[in-house]
Amino acid sequence: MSDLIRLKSVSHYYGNQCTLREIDFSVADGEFVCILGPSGCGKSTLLNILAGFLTPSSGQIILSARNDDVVGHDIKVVMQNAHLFPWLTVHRNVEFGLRMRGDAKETRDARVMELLHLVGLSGVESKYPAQLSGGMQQRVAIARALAPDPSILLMDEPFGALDAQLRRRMQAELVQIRAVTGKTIIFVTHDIVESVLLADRIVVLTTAPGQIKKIVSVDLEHPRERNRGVYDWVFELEQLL
Amino acid sequence: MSPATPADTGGESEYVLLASGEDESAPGKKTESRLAHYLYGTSTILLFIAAWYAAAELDMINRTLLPSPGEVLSAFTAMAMSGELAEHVAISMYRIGSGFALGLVTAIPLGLMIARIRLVRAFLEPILELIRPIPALAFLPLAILWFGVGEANKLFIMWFGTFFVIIVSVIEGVYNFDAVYLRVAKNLNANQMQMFVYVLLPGVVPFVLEGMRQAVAVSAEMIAAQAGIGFLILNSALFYQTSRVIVGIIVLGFLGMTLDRLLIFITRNVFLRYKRTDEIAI
Repeated sequence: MSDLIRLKSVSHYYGNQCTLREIDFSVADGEFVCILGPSGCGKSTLLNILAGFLTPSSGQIILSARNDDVVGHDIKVVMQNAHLFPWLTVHRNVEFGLRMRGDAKETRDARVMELLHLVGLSGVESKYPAQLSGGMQQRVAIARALAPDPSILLMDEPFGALDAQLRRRMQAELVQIRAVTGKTIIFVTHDIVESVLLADRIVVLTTAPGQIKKIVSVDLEHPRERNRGVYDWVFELEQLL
Repeated sequence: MSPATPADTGGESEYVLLASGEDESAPGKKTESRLAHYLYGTSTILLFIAAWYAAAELDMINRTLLPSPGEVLSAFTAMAMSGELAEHVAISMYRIGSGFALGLVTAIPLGLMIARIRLVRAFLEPILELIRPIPALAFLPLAILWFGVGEANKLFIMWFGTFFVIIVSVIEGVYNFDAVYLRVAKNLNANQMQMFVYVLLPGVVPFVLEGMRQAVAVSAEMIAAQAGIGFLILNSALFYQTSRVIVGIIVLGFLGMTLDRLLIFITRNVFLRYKRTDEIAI
């Protein structure tokens, strides 16, 4: 597999304070990588850099994108709290990225239908975000991020605000979505179990400053259940953190 | 459905952010307490009118200075029948409407730019801060000199009155707007212009509506000072027609209240969609 994105000794400082130090890793095409670490380990900084909201103080991010190599351009983000535009319907939210780049209405409509079907939300096109449950909102957010067909889907603790049961269901659905779309996913979380259930590889970060402690490959078959195999991994990761 | 969450801005803006039909508190109980609420409010008004009536009937006050409720009522009926009142109301409404429209059209784009573009803010904020505290009516003599006694000076005063109220709420709206939405839009390839039109503009609507409610009060003041009903009030006072003065004042009160209610209604229903989703419990 070829590297889709590669970080070369990326560091970030807030003033004199180092939040990320010498981050080096790459993500292959179609890979699911979790960035795991306790709060304050620079996860959000790393996410903001990958999304193009922040520029690193030093280091390089090399994206072998299809269209261009502007960071953030081909990486679409799913935020922690969905952040659907509350004044737009589900349909309008999902097509937002397509409208911004000027796609024709027929193209947009077809894509919206396809994506809502993918996330299991056909029929709610004309509802407003406030009329949806938290889980549904997050699914719409995933559809919105997928709409422009990005190379990479970047997710910032997307299920952190959901209750445990719903979180498990969403995790299983994400595995499904990934299987169907073959998207490369970078998933930020502090939940060890979640990372083991989802990831091909886990980038473990340590705190202050955020540094890579270890990168582990989870060689378990999908779909993963909460069983002995998964918990062995969880135990091993707990030793690291 | 999730429970409606009270606005974190508190107080008045709850109207903006609360969904009307979706409060889950027992509906029966709610209507009952609302009815009681109206009854209490009405009884105070009735008591006030009764006291006024008694004071007038017992000749405690000079009838010329304060006519009885009956006289005011007959003045009202006469003015309503002759169509005089409707004419004044129409003129006032027209001026409120045009002043508002002009205020919105100018204040919204400028407010957005001041709040978002540092350079624009640097240039314009000081002068706005300087002019803002000046009551619009202080400009009335100048406005007459500049624009004559006709429509233009009235429009200027109405615009002045609403512009600053609305621009302040637009700026406040942008400052309170969750910047994550802008990041999301940027991530979805929105350019600067698109972020203004598709994100910031709809994003500040609840704040603009709140600003418009305040501007209604200001407009009522402007109206009282000149056009339509204002003219009725001032002109009647010159001829000691105090009944007509009071009719004018009451109509003005109703006009202001109606506009305010209308804005609350719009806010609650049409913009139900603005209920924030990031605060909703699952």
